[in-house]
Amino acid sequence: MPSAGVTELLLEWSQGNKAALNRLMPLVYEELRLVARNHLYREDAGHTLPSTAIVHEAYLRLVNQDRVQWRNRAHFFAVASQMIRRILVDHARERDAQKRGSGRPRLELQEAVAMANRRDVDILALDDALLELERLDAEQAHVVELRFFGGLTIPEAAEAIGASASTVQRHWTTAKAWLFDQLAHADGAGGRYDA
Amino acid sequence: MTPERWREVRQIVHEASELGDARSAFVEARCGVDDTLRQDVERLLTALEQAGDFLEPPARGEEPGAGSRIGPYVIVHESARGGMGVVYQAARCDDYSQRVAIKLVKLEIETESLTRRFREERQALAMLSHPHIARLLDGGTTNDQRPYLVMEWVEGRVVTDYCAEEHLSLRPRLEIFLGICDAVAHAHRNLVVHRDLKPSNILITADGSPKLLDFGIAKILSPGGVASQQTMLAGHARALTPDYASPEQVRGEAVTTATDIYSLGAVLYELMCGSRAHRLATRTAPEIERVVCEQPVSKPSRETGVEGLPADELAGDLDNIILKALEKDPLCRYRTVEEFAGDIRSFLAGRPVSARPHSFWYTASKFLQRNKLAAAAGAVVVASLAAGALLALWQAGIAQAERRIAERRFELARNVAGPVLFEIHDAISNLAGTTKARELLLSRSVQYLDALSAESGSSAALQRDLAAGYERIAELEGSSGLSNLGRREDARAHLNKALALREHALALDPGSAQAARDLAQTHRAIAGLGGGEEALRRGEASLAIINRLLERGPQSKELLSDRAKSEFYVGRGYAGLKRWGDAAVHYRNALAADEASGTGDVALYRRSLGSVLIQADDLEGALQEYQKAASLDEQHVRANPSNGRAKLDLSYDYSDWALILGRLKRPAGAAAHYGRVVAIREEMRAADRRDARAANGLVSGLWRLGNALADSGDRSGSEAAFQRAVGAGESAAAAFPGLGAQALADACWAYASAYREKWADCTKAKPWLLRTRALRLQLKGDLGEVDEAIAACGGH
Repeated sequence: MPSAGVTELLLEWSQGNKAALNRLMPLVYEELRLVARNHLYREDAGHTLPSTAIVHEAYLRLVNQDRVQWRNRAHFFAVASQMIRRILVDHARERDAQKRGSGRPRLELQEAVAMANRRDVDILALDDALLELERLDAEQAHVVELRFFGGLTIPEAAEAIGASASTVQRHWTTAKAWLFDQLAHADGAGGRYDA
Repeated sequence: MTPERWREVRQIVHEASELGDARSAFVEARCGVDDTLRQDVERLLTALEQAGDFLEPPARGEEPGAGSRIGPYVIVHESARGGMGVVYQAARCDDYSQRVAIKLVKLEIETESLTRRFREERQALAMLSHPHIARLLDGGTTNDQRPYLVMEWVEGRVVTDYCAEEHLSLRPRLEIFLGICDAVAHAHRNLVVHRDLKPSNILITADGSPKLLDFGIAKILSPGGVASQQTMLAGHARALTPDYASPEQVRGEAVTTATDIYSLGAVLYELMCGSRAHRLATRTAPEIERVVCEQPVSKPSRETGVEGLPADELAGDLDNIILKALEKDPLCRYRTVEEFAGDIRSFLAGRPVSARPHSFWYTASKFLQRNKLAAAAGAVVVASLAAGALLALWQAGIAQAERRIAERRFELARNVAGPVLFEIHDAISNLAGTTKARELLLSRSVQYLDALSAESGSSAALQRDLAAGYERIAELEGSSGLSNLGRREDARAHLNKALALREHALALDPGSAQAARDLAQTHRAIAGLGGGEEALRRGEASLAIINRLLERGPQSKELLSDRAKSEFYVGRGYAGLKRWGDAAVHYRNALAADEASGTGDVALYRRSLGSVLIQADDLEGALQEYQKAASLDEQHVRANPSNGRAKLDLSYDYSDWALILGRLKRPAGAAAHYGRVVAIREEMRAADRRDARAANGLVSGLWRLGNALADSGDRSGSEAAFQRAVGAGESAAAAFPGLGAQALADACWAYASAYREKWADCTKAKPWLLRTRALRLQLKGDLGEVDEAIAACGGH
């Protein structure tokens, strides 16, 4: 049953009430963790990354669909995308620690190319690369977060960061290529981009 | 890597990724000797190509499934999935029996331009009404902003499958094809090109008749409105299949009706011999371009592979017909679909076809085949009948030629009445001295528009163009703007035509905000013509439309600006009815709305507010508004010294400013401001002798200057100004018999009043009173005050 409170807060925040965001975030985070736990404990190795499914499910549970517009939804997903990144990274660390004690598997190039056609991504490697991208261009990293973790469409991401759709599309295309290159060559020493 | 370096790499990669073959040369040029930069760029470009779906968010599990709603429709089941999106079978929520096809566009397609293109095309497509065309019924955007199209649901088999499964022989295949041609010809008459004709878009329904799907959809779905080479070849958004695409489409050139004729030829080719006209070894861009643009198409009769369709039935005329439709050069193909279909009908009737150079013997041999009896009756009869047949053919040729000329003229006229008129008018409208040129442009354009209206048929896009054309004409004729030609009633008639077209367009598409805004704008244009109650009603109509749009949707700048303009016209309507208080309220509303939009003509609103404050005797308030307006307009004039309109506006500011000073008993200040008015208008009058407003404005500035000088005690200066006013009035009346004579009458009346009231000289006043009377009589104006004055001066 969607919570009236979250819907209200989302609307207020979308209309510019900053305080509403502070009250909104813990509610969203709690729900995301609840939903995420269900998804992540059902997973097995090589699973399809469920982040967008989690965000979407949380959204359906929290927000009264009849009362919000797509803009409000973009704002919700924008908030949730940061949180879900955190949740998934924490989860991956925990799982790695349990499974292997230390270190994580490295992708060979062949495997990396194949990876492009699957949706499973080494979440910790991606998190590292995103931190580096944040240093190079924070807005680009934000776009990746919104797209990959939040599942936002290009127009929604544009709405969420207040940029034009064409800018977001450009950011997304080059960031995606850069991250692909980083992860495909994540051979410990890092790519030449660290130079 | 530093953030600066990253931005550089990213920018080069972005630009390079939009290039085709020129990419490596571009990268070389941009990176120069910086090898590190080049390596970074190349590495990222490689990654760009390999990245594929990497990190791409999946559909959010919210691709609508059975039972979910899209607008007023509920999905029954998914029916097909393609490069551009998903097709569903759906039903109306309120009428479950009515099945429709809904095409839901993929999430990742840039929706903004798509939605715009969709709006532009929708009306044209909705007008296509033909038994063989699946109708576009509706369209809109879903809650998450994905555009969708709603089409008539068609149950049927793909035409090629149908012909094969039913083992159809030559004649029924050609008859089906003629039905397809009928539909395409209908669309072409409505200025819609299909752009993506292929067997899978042609279904044969249970009754055996063809139904064409997706008319004009390719135009909506392809970026920039044309299928660019990128979209076709680079696989970026593979909207079109190369199997039936014309050379011009493959090359990314303009798509015309000739493109559909080519695709029809490719479909007929396949129907006749069972194989495709294009033999593509691979689907790479160079191979597609080589095969489609260069490789000659082999004769269908050589490729025949359909049981029951032997090669000798195809050889000759049918080969010629199909190859003519498949000419690489659009100009060598059939000029119209009717011509194409006509040849097939001729073939079926055993008459000569045009797809072969006519020789007498070719024609005669056809004739003899058909008229074996006549041939037996004797050579003379044969010869005379053959001559008759030739005559008929020749006449048919003339009819075709005339139709082609008519079609070309129609396109030309549409162009002239639309873009050409707008472009030329915009280019010269603010230049002084161009009235004559614009008058010529105007009369030609009216002829075109009226001719087009008569032929416009059912094309909504054309109606929109026509309405805009009439509005421009009316603007030139005198509804607004500076250098009008003083033909107000013509302008009203043309605006009424535009209004009818706009109302029709909105009725066709009641949900379109653009159509509603267009209609509101036409209401305002009519309000701009003045006319008491009528002007007020038009202003209010515009305001009501805009307010409804504002209630319905977001408060966009454009709409707020529209509100400001509408409030302004309501204010002006009240001012026209001398309801000053109401007028001031609405002018202030206009200023408030304009503050929110920041795009309107603040000086105009202030000037107008000032003018009603004068009427309401709030002189100080009025003075403030005019001072603000004048300072804005002074900026405009400084910024655009050749802009006549800004100058005229400034002269109005000074003029009313002077009027207020006069009322405030500061005649010297008033005279100084009228002096400025006169200077500006003299300059404008000299720049363009055919500009009615400049001519009349100069007259009024001069007699007002005369009044102010009289009030400040400068009688000789005053008389000189009045004399100049009368001189300028005579020249204006000669050039513009209506408005100019009015200006002259005002000048005479002002001069007479000065003699009577300021200098107590009835004798000298009298000739001017009599002249005023004569002019007003001629203008059918009010004689009351003149007759009173004449009586007061001792009668006639």
